[in-house]
Amino acid sequence: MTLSDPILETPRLRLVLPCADHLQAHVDFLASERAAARGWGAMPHDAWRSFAAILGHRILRGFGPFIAEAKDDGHVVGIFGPWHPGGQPEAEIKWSVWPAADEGKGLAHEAARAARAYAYRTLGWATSVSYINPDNLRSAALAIRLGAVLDRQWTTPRGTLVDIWRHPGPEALV
Amino acid sequence: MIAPTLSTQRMTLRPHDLADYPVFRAFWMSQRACHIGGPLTHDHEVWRQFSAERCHWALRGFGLWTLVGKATGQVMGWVGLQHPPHYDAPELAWHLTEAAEGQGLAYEAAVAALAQGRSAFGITRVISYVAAANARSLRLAERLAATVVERGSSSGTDYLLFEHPGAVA
Repeated sequence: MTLSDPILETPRLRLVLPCADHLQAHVDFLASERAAARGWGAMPHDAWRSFAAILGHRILRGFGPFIAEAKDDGHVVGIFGPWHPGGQPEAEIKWSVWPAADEGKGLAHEAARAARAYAYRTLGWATSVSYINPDNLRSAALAIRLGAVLDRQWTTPRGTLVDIWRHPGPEALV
Repeated sequence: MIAPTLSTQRMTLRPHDLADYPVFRAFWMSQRACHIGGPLTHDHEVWRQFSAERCHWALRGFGLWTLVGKATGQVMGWVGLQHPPHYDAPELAWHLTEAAEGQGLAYEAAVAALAQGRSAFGITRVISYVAAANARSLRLAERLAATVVERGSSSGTDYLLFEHPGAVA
């Protein structure tokens, strides 16, 4: 991590590097019903471990996801951006809105668009995808709104079938 | 009943006509039909599709229209409502020729068809099945403000089921 690491801005959000200040929002999210519905671990130690993975991603890959903070009151809206965990065939644009109250306002769309543009412009990605659980219709709707199409399906190492949605390439977004 | 003729800014929506059959056949036998059960390979399949679309009006009182460009007189595609018994609501469908693509014509026709369906045919719930790999169609559903209500797979095609927003004021 260097001081020159970027901060992205959208009309309502600031996308910043994840740090310890964001841990509690992640713990709260994983303890929520929305996270439970996705089958994610709800215990504080699960949240600790997965947040450590979020922080460490940048060290391991040289790039990593951003935390979106609301410009008006600074609260954490969720995590967005380039994400390539081990075992996953391709890097993706990840998104996850943490507080239920932030759903349905177009915030994820705003943040994901900015994150995708960052992956293309700054990281030089030639293409991008998002891995989405087929049951997650809200997420599929966002992929559609971002202009993505279903490319194929992939079975994770844990045996979960996920949809791989492919975004328009950088040339299509100019 | 046959389709009433409607007019939009750039198109006339009118009943299927045998004179258009060559355009219809070319569309259904091309890769453009790959997300909607095509391409069809036999003439009898194309004829069956054409007859089904035309006769849907007699069976249900609504159906698909043929889109004709006002400026060109050319058939631009087929848009409308269809309700086969295995769908639980009428579906708004749109099929455009290659030449008609990218001009917002499908949107224009879909809005007119949906309005007619709601006001004249009394249809309330309207759905659309869209192949998850069909980028343009997904974008149109999105533009029509339809909501994703189901993600599934049928006959090897991954699809999304959309529900269109409530009655147009």
